Formats: sequence, structure tokens, C-alpha cells
Amino acid sequence: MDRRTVRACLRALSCATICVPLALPAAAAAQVTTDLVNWNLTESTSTWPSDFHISSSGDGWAAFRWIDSPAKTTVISGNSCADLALYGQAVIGVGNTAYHNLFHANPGQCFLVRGRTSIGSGSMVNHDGRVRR
Amino acid sequence: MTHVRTLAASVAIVAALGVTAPGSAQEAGDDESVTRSAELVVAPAGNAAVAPREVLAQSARGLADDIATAIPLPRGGTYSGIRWEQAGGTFTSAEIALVLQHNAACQWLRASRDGRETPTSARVLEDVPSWPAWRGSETGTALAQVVADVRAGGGPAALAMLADCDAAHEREVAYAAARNLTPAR
Repeated sequence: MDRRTVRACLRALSCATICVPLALPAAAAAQVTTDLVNWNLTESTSTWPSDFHISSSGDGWAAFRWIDSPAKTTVISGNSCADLALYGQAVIGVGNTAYHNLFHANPGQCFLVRGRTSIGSGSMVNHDGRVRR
Repeated sequence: MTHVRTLAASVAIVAALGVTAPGSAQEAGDDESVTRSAELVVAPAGNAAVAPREVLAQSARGLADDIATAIPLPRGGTYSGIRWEQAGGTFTSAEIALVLQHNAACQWLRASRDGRETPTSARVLEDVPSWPAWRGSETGTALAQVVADVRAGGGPAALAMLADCDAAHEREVAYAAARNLTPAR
């Protein structure tokens, strides 16, 4: 390997270690997630027993997804901790495990997560979900 | 006559300052709020002391009235604007206690900001992070920061919570009025 080849290799190597990381997209906001383990839903709306807050490190959205594939269509909402006003909700179809945005708010805002199965579909037990906030 | 004038002037000054005469009903109410708050601080975490029940949303207001007797409110405070009926579904007594404590925390924070019932509001707010609904949880930590901001004369956590509480209060006034209930001050 002659000297020019060595220099070319060193240039390529330094670009691989310096240029490539700079070319990557900016890291996504570090959102906080909380798992809701074994949530049991019926056709009547119920509330997950603890509250949540919009994180200061995220994008301001409160979102929900099922970790266990849902066997029923479900309706999941975010509600005010202080007066239960509806902030936003999502209808999640059978088998859908993608995140669904519920509402957008400022960091620190407190909310409750409520949910039910669709009318006439019966209950859905022991399904894990995840709140991203 | 001089004594009468002095007394009248004193009464006027006391009234103007909003100072409470020792042993008055108002002071007794303040003491009761502080006592109730202190009792919440030592109640089992997670509202475990609240008798477990589950009710339909249409009956939640009645159960909430029972649970609310343990939670202090500023003078003129009510829980009438909480949207139990509109939210629908079912509520457990622990969930009802959680919402009531959030609502009460908001009312004390607004009272403190508005200069009502000081120093009672300051004393109750100091207890709020240790109330059983959120003691030891992320919410308790967040509320501790709010109280630290209040103690320091202001800060982002207190400002953010006050904005939420003011928005909730506006909704509560509308909801209570629509149901012919007296809204919280």
C-alpha cells in the first residue's frame, strides 16, 4: 500500500467516524412510557387506577398502544385529573398495536387514561397497554 | 368614648386587613382544613383507607360526597364541577378519591395564588404532595416541585399547574351551572 492509498484510507476512515454520525437525523424526543399491565376492559368505561403527566422530554403528545394484540375494538381516552373533562380519545381496531395519539398538552399536565370495549363486543381481559407521554 | 372610638378603629383596621379574630368561626374552619390535610398525610397510600366500592357514573357524585368529607377545601370550595356523569362508565372509590384530591389541590393552589386564606392555604399546600392518592409516586414528586415553586414565590411547575387548574375551574363553573349546582369559588 503506497503513501497516497494510506492517506485516502485514513480520510475515508475519519469521515466514516465523524461525517456519518453528523449526517444522521436528530434523535427523536425522549418520551416517557408507562406500561399498563393486565388491563381489564368491559363495555362500560373504566379508569386505569393511577394518573399520568405529560413529560418535559417528549413532544407533548399523550399516546396509547396495545402491547398485547387487542381481540376487541377498544375506545381509549385521556381525561383531566381535576374534573374528568375529555382531552381526546382514539378508537383502536382489532389487532392494532400501533400508537394512537390521544391529545397534545403542555409538560406537566396531569391526565387519567380511561377505556372500554366497543358496544356489543363484550369484555377484554389481561391485555397490556402502553402510554407514551 | 375614647375607648369606643379606639375599638371602632381597631375593628375597621382588622376588617380591612382581613385579619381573623382569635376563636372565630373562620379560624376554626382554617384549623379544620389544616387538621384534615394532616390526617390525609398519615392515611395509607393509594387511598387504601377508602372503603372499596364501584359505582356507575350516575351514582359517583353521591359516593364522592361521602369521600369528600375527609378532604379539605378552601372556603367556597365545592366539587360540583367534576364531570362524573359526562365521563360515564364506572368509578371505584379509590378513583373517586384520586380525582377529588386533584380537584382539591387545584382549589388550594388557586386560593394561594389569589391570596385567599393565607397562611392556611400555604400550610395545606405543603401537605399536598403527601396526600394518599399520589404519595411516593411521580405525581407526588411533581406536586412537590409545584409547592417548592409556590414557596419560592413562583416557578414554571406552579405556573403550568395553575394554568391547568384555571382551565379546569372554567369548565367546572360551566358544568355546575348547567346542573344547577354551586360551582367552586
